[in-house]
Amino acid sequence: MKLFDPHIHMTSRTTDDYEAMASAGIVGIVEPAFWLGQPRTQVGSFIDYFSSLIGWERFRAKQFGIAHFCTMGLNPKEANDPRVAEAVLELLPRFLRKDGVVAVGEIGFDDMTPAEEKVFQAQLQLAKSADLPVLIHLPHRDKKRGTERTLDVVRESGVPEERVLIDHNNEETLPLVKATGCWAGHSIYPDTKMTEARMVDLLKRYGLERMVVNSAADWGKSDPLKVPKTAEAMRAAGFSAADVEHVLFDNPVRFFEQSGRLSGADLGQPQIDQSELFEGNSVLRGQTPRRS
Amino acid sequence: MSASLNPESLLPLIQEAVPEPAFRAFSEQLERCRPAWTLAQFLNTFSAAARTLGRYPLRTEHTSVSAGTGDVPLAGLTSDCAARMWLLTALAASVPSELATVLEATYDEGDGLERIAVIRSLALLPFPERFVELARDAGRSNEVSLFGALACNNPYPARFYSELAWNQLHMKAVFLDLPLAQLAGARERDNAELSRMALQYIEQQESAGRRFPPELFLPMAAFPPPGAVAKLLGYLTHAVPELRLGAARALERIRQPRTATFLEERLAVEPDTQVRSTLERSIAALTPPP
Repeated sequence: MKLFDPHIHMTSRTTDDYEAMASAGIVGIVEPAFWLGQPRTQVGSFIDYFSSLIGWERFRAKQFGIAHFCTMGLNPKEANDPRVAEAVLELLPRFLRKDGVVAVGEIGFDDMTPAEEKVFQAQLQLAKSADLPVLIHLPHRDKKRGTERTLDVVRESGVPEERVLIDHNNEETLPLVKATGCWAGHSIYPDTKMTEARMVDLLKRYGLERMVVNSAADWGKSDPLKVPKTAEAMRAAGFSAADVEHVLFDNPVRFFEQSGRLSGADLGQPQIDQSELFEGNSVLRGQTPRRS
Repeated sequence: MSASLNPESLLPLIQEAVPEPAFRAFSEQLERCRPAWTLAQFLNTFSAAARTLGRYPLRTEHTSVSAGTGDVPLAGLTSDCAARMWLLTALAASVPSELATVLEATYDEGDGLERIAVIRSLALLPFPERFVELARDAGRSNEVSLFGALACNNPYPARFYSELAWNQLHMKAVFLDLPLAQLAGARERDNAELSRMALQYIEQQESAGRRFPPELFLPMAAFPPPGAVAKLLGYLTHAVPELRLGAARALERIRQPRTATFLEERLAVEPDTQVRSTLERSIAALTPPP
């Protein structure tokens, strides 16, 4: 069974994680640009971080047979920081044109300040001009109100709802999102956010369409195997293998395929990677990359 | 097989390699950029090349593309990389004053494939010596495909690197297990310091019980340090044919009359045809015609 984790911050994870994810069936991931746990104080830090998302991290993932995609955006926490916010917005078009960048994100609200709203709106317009879908982060505090405001901003932006994935849903916010054309993401966490069991209940209640599940694993206490663990929980609850693949592979892939820069058909095939063939038998010698 | 193409000829080769709609989309992007590129337009076209054209191997009998400063091998070139190389050479021809700035932008802002195309283009561009620092940056990468684009099938380092930089590049290629036969111009850049480094690396691997590429015997043999000839004679009888072949080729390069007896003794029992013919050539070169 092929699995796809549509929200995971691999920059903070180890090669052991990549190995475990690949052997659990994960063939592709999306790494959203986010904050690093500590505020960045200058735009140069963003340049290097964004470059690593399309460079070194993609390379690392490939070593384990995992296709790495990413989203680019200014997260809401740092949208409040005048030292970086404007400059990062100016920087984004340069990264949004890159291969493997499959959405603008993760963007949205944190404290729901006017600065956050302005940066959120500006990035929705960037998504339109770059012809990319959008990955939106829901705030952790005042979550239901934050979801309502998020949906308002999306509506005003003119970005089609089917090109928007709203992430970190729970039982309170999901009905609001399901009432729109947006896709609903769920982050399965060891302690907070959502658990596998609650996720299975939501799938029973709301069906499988436009439902997306991720680990959102990062530098905090989190688990990069939450997508495969949700697969197990779904099977244990009586969902078929096809249902599992529908939610945990097809759905996220279909959403990000709207970027035109990701193709589900290419994922999980034996890794015939043209870029490495291109440099010839040469570049791969001695690497023995794992092949699925 | 014909040798070298002009960079302009890359465009028809790309056209032959990719589906018609893809090439039309690329041409339309170029059309929109007339009469003059803006930087953003150039970078958009450059970045989008892989998804616009796809990544199809070029089909050509030509072996390299040349722009006066050196031949760049076409081995393994795909449509996206060729298109990016063509874009850079076209820019160099039309607005030479902008080249350095744009090239730095394509590299600094580039993802892995874009950077590979920049690195493969360097030797095709005017006054390529000004891009040494950019090449050195790629040489510090541990992304094997990027480092490989610099070290393998690329004449740039051999032509423009200092001896120190060349030696470091060569040894890093060894560490990354790249095919040393693809280091373009390597034999012309061999030097005594590299011979010493090669010998010491081989000795270090021997002590650790680890393998080393037999091709490393060649730079070692260029200025054979003390002990090198004896070591090569020892490897002539090694169980692994590749090591015997590497040693035979290195001894052919050294051409020392005192090795003749050893070469003849080995030839008498050598089962491998490649090793045999190398030994025969060496012996013939050492034996004065009657």
